[in-house]
Amino acid sequence: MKHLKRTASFLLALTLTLPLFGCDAPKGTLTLTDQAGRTVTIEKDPEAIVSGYYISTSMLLALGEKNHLVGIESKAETRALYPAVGLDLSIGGYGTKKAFETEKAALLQPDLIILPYSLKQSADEISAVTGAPVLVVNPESDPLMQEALSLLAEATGTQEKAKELTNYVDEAISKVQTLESTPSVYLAGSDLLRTAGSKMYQSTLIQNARTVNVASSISDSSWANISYETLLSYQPDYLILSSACPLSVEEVLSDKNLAALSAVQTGNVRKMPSLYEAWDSPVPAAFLGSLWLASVCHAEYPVSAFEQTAEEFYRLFYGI
Amino acid sequence: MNKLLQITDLSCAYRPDRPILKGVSLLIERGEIVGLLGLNGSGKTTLFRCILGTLPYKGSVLFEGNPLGKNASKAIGYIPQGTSVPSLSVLDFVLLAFYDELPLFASPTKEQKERAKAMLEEVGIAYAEEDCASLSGGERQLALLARTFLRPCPLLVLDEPDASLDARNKKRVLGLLKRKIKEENRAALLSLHDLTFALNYCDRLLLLKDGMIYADFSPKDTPLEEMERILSVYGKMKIGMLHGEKDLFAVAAEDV
Amino acid sequence: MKARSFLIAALCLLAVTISLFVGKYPLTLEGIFSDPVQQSVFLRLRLPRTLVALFGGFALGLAGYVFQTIFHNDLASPDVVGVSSGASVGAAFAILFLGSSALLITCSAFLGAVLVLFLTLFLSSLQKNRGKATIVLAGIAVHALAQTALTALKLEADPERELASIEYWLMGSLNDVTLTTLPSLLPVVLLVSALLFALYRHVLVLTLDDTEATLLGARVKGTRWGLLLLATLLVASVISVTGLVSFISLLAAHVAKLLVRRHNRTLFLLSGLAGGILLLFADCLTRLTAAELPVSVFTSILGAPALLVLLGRKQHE
Repeated sequence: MKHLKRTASFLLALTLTLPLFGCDAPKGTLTLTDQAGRTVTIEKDPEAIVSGYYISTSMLLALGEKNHLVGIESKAETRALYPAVGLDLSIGGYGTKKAFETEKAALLQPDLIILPYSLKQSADEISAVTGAPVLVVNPESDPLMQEALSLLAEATGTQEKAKELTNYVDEAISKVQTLESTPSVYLAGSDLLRTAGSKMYQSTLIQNARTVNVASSISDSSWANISYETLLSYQPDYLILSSACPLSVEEVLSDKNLAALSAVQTGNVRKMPSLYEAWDSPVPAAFLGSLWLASVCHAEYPVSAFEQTAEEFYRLFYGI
Repeated sequence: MNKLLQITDLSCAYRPDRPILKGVSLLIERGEIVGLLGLNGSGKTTLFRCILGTLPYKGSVLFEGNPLGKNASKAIGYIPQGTSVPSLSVLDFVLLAFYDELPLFASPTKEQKERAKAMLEEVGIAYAEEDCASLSGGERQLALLARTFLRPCPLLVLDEPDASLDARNKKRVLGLLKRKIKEENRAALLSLHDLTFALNYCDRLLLLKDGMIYADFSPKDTPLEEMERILSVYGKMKIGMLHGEKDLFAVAAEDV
Repeated sequence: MKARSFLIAALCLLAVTISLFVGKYPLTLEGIFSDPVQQSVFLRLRLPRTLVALFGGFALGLAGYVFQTIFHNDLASPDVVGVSSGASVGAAFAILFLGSSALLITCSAFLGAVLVLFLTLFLSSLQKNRGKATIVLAGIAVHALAQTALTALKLEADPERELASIEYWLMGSLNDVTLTTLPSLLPVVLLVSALLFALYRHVLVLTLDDTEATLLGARVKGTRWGLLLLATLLVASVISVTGLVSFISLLAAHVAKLLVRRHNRTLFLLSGLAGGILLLFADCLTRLTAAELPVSVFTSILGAPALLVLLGRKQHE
């Protein structure tokens, strides 16, 4: 069911942009609508792209646009992915979710700039100053992530690759959906007592692993803080620590306040690994988080299947 | 030591070009009730502040021959004009008299409470548990007096103690003051506006004019015309004697 | 008077009982004795949380009373000397640079709160006029400084994690209270409260104006600083554990004054109890929603209108 929805929204996004081809646009350009609702005209096949957000950078790399990246976001040195794909870290430092280095970027004379949604207010101004078109992406949920991917594919003319990637992911996920049981999972975010409610992206990750989010009664659209008691009343089958959580599995298992938790008693506490990237944010490889989770929670889905898929995915789409 | 307060050549100015006190000298001895007279703004409160040490001044203020310094609280009991009282019970308020006699973590002792209650009775305040903030002006002054009397300070300084009192309370408050001063051989310096009262009540009167003690006289020993002349700063007046049970002074303004 | 004290004691008992039985994990009276899981939840989580709410609120109430009495102002609270801002800076600093250990955050927040008090008192001592108003003005300056530092720290913080942690801390909650939290809070609160009760006489003398107090032999400046330090220690010990809790310090003494008008040890005690009851009820409310809201949401919702009503009544008197 999920993968149908994904393909549908991808095709929908694609068809939405088709009518604009018939308009009066000069040759060699495209008119797109970005995820901030802005109508943007860009030149086809941009060769100098600045990506101010790690998620769009990852997407562009997956779409094979490595050689067209001339600038990427700040703190690039913290991303294990970039050295692995052979990306020159000196192109980092062009902005964060809070602010974009407009003047620095202008020096590069880019053909295209990608910004996170948090900077949507400054998008037009940045475009005016740098003389480059700006696309705003907002990949904060599963369907939105698909939209972002197809937008970037459209902009860079890599729709084929995008389709390949989406199909790959859909197929991998569908293999998990046929599993029988639906164990419950508690996902700890940057703190043991911080979790994601049903409206958050991480909830989709849990669902895709054919597991149930115990915190789905929480409807906050950002991380929610709970108490030990709430966690105890959830009694999840599995307690999963996200890769951002500073605690280790041992620390959780020895926390006396969790002694009454069945997941602790049976040792069903795991920390989400990260291979090149953390999978609990909407990067293209995020589905691997679901696969890993499935391999933990379902005996029928072996770890080897997950490991194989992970290795294959990065080889196919990132060349690692 | 009989000489309680000795002030020599005291000068004080809030601003360098406008001195308020220009060389005040006075002496107060035990057993005396000294009244300080002067027009509004003549510097009476300023003089009190200098005595207490809360204003800088030139000259000397000696208490029993020594400068006051940190010991002002043991030497002088000061009752300022129109204080607001906090919301304490009268007893607690009066018990603050013993504040500096107790060690850090102690509370007032039973003996101190007894003394306080006795003093309240003597002063005429009926209910020790009454909230200070709900006392009338007169009762407030009485409470302040009670507290001050519980302290060992030999010199009491009062800034217009009769200001907001009706005639009966005035008698009560000042009568009590006089009695205690004489009984315990203390002394009092008080500023007054009511001239009749001043003449009848005080042993000595000081007139503060132009920043100096213009006159220092004892009503009983000074001829009436002399006093009329001294007090003409207040305007022309007539001073007479009323003969009854006691001989009393009476003051009337002439040019009303 | 006796009847009123009884009322407060009863209310306190009620608040404690409710707090012991309200929570996400269902507890029953027999369950606590029979089921080891329930026992663990009760002893490790529910009971400590109730104690922190009770004693934390108590401490905040006492501190509020001391500040209002010393500054002769019904709207005074420990924030006047910038305690909350100092604690915030300490906590933010710890969250950013010292990792997320709860104990480190607590210590850092505590240090921040106390340092800010010293800074305020130091600044005020540089002025010739050593009165109450000078302390307040110095407090305003230091508060502004602390807020700037806090903003700088927030800008440094990663919006996904650290910033969220800082914001949550700033809103205050008793969510993370466990058995191991108690030693950080209870001993200090009990000790300092006892000290303040023993030193109550000195609070009383400061109800007079400075000249009057000095003439009774009080060392006004030293006494004021000493009492402010003790009250600040009380507040710091609580908010370093719970984060910023609004209104309790401000409100508690006013509530107590509904029962006892005059300044005496009973009023002081009642201020503490009122604070404890307020925080207990507010904290119980936080446990009712799916994602637990910060406790300041409820102290503000209840506190702001309550304060307006109480101050309005005072005007009419």
